[in-house]
Amino acid sequence: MSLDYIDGPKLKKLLEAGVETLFEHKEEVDDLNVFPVPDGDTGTNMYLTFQAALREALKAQDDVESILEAAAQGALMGARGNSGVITSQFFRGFAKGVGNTKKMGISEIANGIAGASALAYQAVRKPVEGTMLTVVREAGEKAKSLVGKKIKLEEFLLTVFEHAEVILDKTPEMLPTLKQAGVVDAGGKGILFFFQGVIEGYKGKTLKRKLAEEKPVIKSASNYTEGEVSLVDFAFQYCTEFILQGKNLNVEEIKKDLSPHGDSMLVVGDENTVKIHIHTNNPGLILDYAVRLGDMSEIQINNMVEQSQQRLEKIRQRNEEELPQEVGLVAVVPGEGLHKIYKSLGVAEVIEGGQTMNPSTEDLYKAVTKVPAKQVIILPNNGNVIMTAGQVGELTEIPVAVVPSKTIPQGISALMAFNPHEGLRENLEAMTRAIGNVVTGEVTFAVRNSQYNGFEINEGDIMGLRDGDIVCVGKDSSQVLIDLLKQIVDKEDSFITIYYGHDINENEAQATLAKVQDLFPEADVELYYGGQPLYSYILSVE
Amino acid sequence: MVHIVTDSTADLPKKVADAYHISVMPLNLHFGEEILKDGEDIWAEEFYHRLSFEATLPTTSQPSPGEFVDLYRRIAKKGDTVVSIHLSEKLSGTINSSRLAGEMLKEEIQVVAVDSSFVTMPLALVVLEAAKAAQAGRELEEILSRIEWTQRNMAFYFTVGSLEHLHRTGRIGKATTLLGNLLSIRPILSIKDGLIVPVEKFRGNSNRLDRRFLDLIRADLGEDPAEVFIIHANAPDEEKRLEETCRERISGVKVFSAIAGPIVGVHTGPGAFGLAALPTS
Repeated sequence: MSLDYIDGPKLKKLLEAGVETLFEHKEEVDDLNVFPVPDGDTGTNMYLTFQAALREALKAQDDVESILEAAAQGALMGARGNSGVITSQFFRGFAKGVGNTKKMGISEIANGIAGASALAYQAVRKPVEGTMLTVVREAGEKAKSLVGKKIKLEEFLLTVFEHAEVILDKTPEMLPTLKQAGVVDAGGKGILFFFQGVIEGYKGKTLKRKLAEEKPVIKSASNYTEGEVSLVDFAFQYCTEFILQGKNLNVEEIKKDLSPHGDSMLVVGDENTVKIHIHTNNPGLILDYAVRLGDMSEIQINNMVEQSQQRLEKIRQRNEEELPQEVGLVAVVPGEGLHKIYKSLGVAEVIEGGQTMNPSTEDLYKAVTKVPAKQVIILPNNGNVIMTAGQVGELTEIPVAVVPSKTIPQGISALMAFNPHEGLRENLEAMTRAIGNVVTGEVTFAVRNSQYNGFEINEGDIMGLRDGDIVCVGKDSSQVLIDLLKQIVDKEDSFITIYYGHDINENEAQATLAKVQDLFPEADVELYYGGQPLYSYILSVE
Repeated sequence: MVHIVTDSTADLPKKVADAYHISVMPLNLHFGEEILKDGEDIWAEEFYHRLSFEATLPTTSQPSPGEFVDLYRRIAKKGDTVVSIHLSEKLSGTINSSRLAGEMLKEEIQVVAVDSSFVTMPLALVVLEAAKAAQAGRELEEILSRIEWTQRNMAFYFTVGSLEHLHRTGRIGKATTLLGNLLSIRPILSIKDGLIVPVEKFRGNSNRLDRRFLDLIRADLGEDPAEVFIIHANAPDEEKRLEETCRERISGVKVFSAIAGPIVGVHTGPGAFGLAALPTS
């Protein structure tokens, strides 16, 4: 027979039950955490705060006022994180609202929740709706409206809880950050887990799990960070929990016996019933131990590694479904090495092409249509492709712009200035400006005899070009590269990047690099495999 | 009397804090279930050592309002003023705890909570300027206006070993990504309006990066800095090299450096480093 009020001893039990339920669900709450800082610790911080409150409450005398004051003090000292600080204000406000009393009925509890809401709103400088503040305020208003109605305390608690749940489900509509992440507010959810535990405690646990399961499963937010999930390294793989019933059970002894076998351990209860929760690598050992002490029920063993992988998979899927970005990129690039480099710089579609293989407008058009973006920028990287690229915009429905890059290094400079979250015009300007930051050198061979710039050039001669102009001629590509650099490099601490072509092997390239470093000891020289045909070396000087 | 308080994310070396009578409130470092007070239970060196082998990645949390109440009561007498300067509200709720504590103590002590809008070395510089003004016996108004001047004129740039840590702890927008690892591109970052923001993508070796940092600082200040403040998250080689670069390129410059403590280290990850400077007047 349950009483229709809550006295001191009962209150202590209910606080315990609430904190236990929050503990069981703290990871779930962590997962929802995207506001104000998506750092995935709301559940943990709230739990630590509640735990500090509980610790002090249990030490207090057995009247409601002393317990609530002790809890408020404990929460104030033990508050962790933003959610914890707000929680500590809930406790203070609740204690203030309930006031000087030995037991709480509907009216006192309603005053308590309203008081909790009022103080928390004061505590936050810019209260944001769609958070735990909203949930508790609504709970308080509902509670107040029920005062004086002829209902049992249990029904009162349930009605308030259900209303709070409805409000929690609406939080994504109030706070865009939540909506984007597809989650409800983490702090609000944490408070409801606590509340759920309290109600279950009040009802004598018969309600276990029912409330939580009535609602559809909430999508995990993943805290925006794929990294975190993949980085989790479980020291203990199996989450094992069950209820043990027996005679003369000793909670402290069970804790001592089990603690070497895992972590995240929770052993609570009395001499007849003990709830055990532990993360372990050997659930069998734990169950073997427990079966000797009494009867087990509600046994649950979950493989956390598997759960984490499923979560990771979900996150991957969601990332793939991400909305198209504002501006996407297409580039015309020769050689597999340069393809990889361009891809790594965020170019969605790379088209093979260059000096002797100019892509058609149709080739470029097809590439543009494959880019998942609202607008596209093309990097032609060759003087002969710029005009062709300019025609693509007439064929597409989306805006297409061309950055007039004439060389591979110009294209790379332009990419350094690219920002996928800026608009087309801003990017076009910044990228076009960046082209001017770099001088391009190219080392290639002559396909026929000719005269140019006063040079007598024979078929097969090696030529050095500076921004397209022949400036040196020789017989050896490595030597022509050196001659070319001597003409281009105008300051000691230049930044030189060399991309070696298809016809140069790595050893040759490394030998050339060593020569360049000897010649320009103060310069910063980087060497990459470009794999381009026709050009032994493409280089940039900045 | 005016007392200056900050928090452990200012990364103020203890002897500097002591010399200027600055009280430092620790934030909390969580290694799984274990909770440590920054600068009391764990120090930078030990933290970076643990970071290298701990299976669970650490997180951080703000101090509680109750801890601020205790600190303010300990340092201030009835009628005193406390200027409590903290890391950006957009990065942590620490200042909220400070404000709540001030609210609770308003009958006894005047607590002025200041959002520095920075963290680590720039926060330390704001705090030091405030402490110098307080030591010189300046009034509250003057101290606050000095703080504002420092905030307005701060030049600060840094880089990180990897953006992953800032992403993991949600301290930088998801939009700030760096693809081009093939060309070893590094991010240059800063703090603007209380948020960590990307400044530019940088290619080249470390010496060039140092010089780029100095160019950016010079451009902000409009002059060569007379004093440069280096901060590093367990990157002693980078710190040493950057210091040499500063001395080589700016004659007579004074260089100070500090190691970023556990709280900052959790968010930047090891290997981050950067520098801050203020104009001469």
